[in-house]
Amino acid sequence: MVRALGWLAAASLAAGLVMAFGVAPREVTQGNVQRIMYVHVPLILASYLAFVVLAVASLVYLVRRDEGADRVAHASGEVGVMFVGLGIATGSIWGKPTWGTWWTWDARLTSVAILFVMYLGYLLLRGSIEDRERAARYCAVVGIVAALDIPLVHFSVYWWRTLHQPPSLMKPGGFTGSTSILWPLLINLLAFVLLYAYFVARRVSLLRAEAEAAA
Amino acid sequence: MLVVEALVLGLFVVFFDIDLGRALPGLLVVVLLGTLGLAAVGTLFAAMTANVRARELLFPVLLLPVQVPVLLATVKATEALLLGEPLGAVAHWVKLLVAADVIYVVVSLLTFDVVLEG
Repeated sequence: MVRALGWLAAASLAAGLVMAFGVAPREVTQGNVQRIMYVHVPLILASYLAFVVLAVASLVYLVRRDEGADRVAHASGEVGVMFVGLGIATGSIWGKPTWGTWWTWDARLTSVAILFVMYLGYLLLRGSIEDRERAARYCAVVGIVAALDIPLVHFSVYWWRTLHQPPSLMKPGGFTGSTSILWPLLINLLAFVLLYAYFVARRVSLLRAEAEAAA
Repeated sequence: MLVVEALVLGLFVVFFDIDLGRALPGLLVVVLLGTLGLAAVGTLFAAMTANVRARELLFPVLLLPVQVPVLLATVKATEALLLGEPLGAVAHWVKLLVAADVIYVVVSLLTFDVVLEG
C-alpha cells in the first residue's frame, strides 16, 4: 500500500517533470528559468496542506488522545518544514535571475519565513521533551495555535507592498492562464501531494516502530 | 506589563517630546489590545516551556513568530497615531489586533488545561 503510494508519487513526479519541460511553454520574458514554478508552487502548496493536516491531527489527538494522530502530526510537521525550506530555496533560485536578488523582505517572502521559523520551533519543542505523552500534548497545542496564526500572519504582512506576483491558482475568479501552463502545474501539484503522503506514511510507521521499541 | 508600558510611554513623552494630547485615547486602545494578545499566548507558551530543556531558547523561538501579527499591528498603529493620524486611519490594524486577541484568548483558555495536566 505504502509502496504503491511511493511508486505513484515517483511516476507522477516524472510525468510532472516531463510536462514542465515538454508541454509547458517557454516564458516570453523570463525564459526557461520560469519553469522552476512547476516545482516551487507545488512545494509551497503541499506544505500548506501538511500544516493543515498537522493542525487537524493535533486537534484529534487532544480530543481522543490517540497516539496515531500525534504521529501523523509529527510526520506532517517534519515533511512540511522540509517542503517550505525547499520552497524558499527554489524561490531564491527563481528570484535571483528575475528579481535580481536571492532574498528580499517582501510581504509574502516574510510571511513564509515566519511560517518556517514557527514550525521549526514546533519541531524543536518536540525534540526537547523526553516524555512522549507530554511532547504530544504540548506540540498539539502549538500546532493548533500556529495554524490559526497563519491567516493573521498573512494579512499582517500583506498590507505592505508586495513584490511577489499575486497567486495565480487560488484567487477569486479562478485560474485565467493558458491550459498548457495549468496542466503541468496541476500534475506537479498532484505529484508533490502524493510525495507528501508517502513521506508521512513512511515516517509514521517509523515513529510507530520507535515507540514499540522503546516500550 | 501595563505598568511597564505606562512607564515607558511616560519616558517616551519626556525624552522624545511627543505631543500625546490627541493620540492618547487611540494609543490606549492599541496598547490594551496589544497587551492582551501578548499576554494570552505568552502565558500559554511560558507554562509549556517552563519545564523543558533549553527553555531560555525555546520560549522566544516559539513565541516570536506567533506574535508577529500582534507586534506588527501595534507598531504600525502606534506609529500612525503618534504621527497625528486618527484611530480610523489604522482601523485595519486595530481590527487585526481584535481578531488576533479573540483567537489567542479563546485558544489559550481552551488549551491551558491540556498544558497543565500531568
